[in-house]
Amino acid sequence: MKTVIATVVSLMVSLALSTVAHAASLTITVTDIEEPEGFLMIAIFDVADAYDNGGEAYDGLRIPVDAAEVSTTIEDLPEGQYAIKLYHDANGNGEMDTNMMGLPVEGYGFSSNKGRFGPPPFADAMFEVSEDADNQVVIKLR
Amino acid sequence: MNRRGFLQATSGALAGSLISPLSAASNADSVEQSHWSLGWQSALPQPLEPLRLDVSGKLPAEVTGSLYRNGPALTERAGIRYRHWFDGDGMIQRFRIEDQTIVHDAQYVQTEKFTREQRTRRFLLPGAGTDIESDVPSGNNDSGNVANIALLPWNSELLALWEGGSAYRVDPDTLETLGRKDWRDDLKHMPFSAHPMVEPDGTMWNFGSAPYAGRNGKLFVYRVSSESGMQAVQPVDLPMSGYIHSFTMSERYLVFYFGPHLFTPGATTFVDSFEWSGDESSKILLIDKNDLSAQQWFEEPPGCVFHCANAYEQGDEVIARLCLYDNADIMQRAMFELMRAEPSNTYPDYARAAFAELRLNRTTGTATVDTSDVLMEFPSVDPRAAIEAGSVFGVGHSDTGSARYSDSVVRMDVRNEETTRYVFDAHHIVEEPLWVAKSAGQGGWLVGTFLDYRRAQTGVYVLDAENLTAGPIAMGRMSRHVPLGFHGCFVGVA
Repeated sequence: MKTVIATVVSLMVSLALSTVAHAASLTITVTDIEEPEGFLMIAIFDVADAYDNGGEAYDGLRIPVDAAEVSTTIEDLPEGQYAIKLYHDANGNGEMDTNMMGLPVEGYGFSSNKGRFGPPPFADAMFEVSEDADNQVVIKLR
Repeated sequence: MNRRGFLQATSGALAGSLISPLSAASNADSVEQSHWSLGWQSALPQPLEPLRLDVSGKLPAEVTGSLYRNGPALTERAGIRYRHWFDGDGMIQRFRIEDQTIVHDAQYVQTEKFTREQRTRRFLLPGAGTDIESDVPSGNNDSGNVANIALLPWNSELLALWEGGSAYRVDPDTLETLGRKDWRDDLKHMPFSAHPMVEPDGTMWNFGSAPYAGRNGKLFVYRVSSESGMQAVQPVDLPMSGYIHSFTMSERYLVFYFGPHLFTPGATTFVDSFEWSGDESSKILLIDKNDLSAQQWFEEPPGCVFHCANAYEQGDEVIARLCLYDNADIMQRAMFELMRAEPSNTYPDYARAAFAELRLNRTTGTATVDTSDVLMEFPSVDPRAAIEAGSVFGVGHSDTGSARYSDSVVRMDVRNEETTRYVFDAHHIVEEPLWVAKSAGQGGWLVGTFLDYRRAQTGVYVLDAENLTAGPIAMGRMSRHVPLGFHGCFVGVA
């Protein structure tokens, strides 16, 4: 039994050490916010297929909006490739509101300003997060 | 297509030289100064301060108020010139007319696009017919909205109208932009055409065209109350994704004309997405105002319509008056050439619209069209006259070879099928005539603007609608010129 506990503890320590050793912080700055109210609903993806095809995000954030430009920092993000989709839930109803054509009436954005008439694919929106870098992504709200 | 030979009792004044400005010019400078392309030269990205016009003749008392005009004015920034006439940022020209004086000033509609591009002093967003290299994405239909087509007085404001997205609200006194007109949350950024029509009771009808939506495109029909706002929205699935710019209506029906000018996704610009498909027919949609789901489709040989005059009912038929083109070259070709200032000095025969009457028989489901020989665009009518007997006014071209564009105001008297016109002097390009009723009895004045490109002057004309051939009863000219525009409105002082 002692051996099992020791193994588990050792594994946890090693996992924790490995996380600390290969994690980084990421600062997301969102600009061009028309109405300084509501929330930014941010989805961070680490899997291309999930990003491109409406799958599950690695993490989700809900950040209050009080200015035309808002920044937030995520700590302890494992190194790797990510892409971000977000929308501005200006009225705070938890949904991205659309018009009768099904097109967004609240601001939205991606971690690339490519894709002038629609979302850029993961390959275009992707950025690297690494421990040694100053990881910054600036997203213009559309 | 059935061509009816309307009697052309054409007469008018043909003063001035008929020599083309290019051939008359003796050096490069005068070529530049007297070229018709002055009308498509970009304005500067700043408002125009008030300037008094020199007035000749006598301005009628009824023509007291403000003539507002809208059109693409800013067509160049940082060395980039737009390719298509639809592209430029909308500028509102105002001519205040009072006590025999006319004063002009102008202000850009402060759209999201214009405001953003003012900060960077360069184009950031694509035009309808021009792609722009930039890292600024289009988020919705209003990202590239230039509010540059028309103006409608609405609830003590002006609506500056585009067609791909929302209208903008403008203060008619200060010309200040008051913001985007959002009719409802679920209608934000929806297409809203530049040609709404208003009933005598104040009800506004309009549509939004989304050729890119659904399988073959969608039309959204709007009914708006001046008091309570948006009352009804009817989405219509289209049988083909045809371009549509305006509509007309009779007492009971709305009439929408779709030429086979078809949208295919994937092109670089909105204009380039359209292609004329002359093997296919035009399709006309009739909608009952009392039941927007009651829709009837008709087919006609191919044709292209930008502007409609009016419509009326006679037995089983609905008769609509249109300015009909043979094809869509006006949009796909001529509007590019105008921006390039190509040296052609004659009115292109591939881009001429003729006055036409479209008859839709609701019982048989058939349509016929009578196309006249009378070239006419930017139609205008006397709203007080019985439609079946009334006249239609518009700009025309006299074929004198003196202008690249419209040089005359035309009256089509539908009752006796006679046409009268006034041809302006050489080197004048004439814009949309607006109807201003005389205070007593019948009749009215036609008020509009012109560009004298030889003198680099923009001005205002006033014609007696009953006596066009007499020529302007008053004219105003100013010592500056502004780009030619599309549509306007006259707001009289009560």
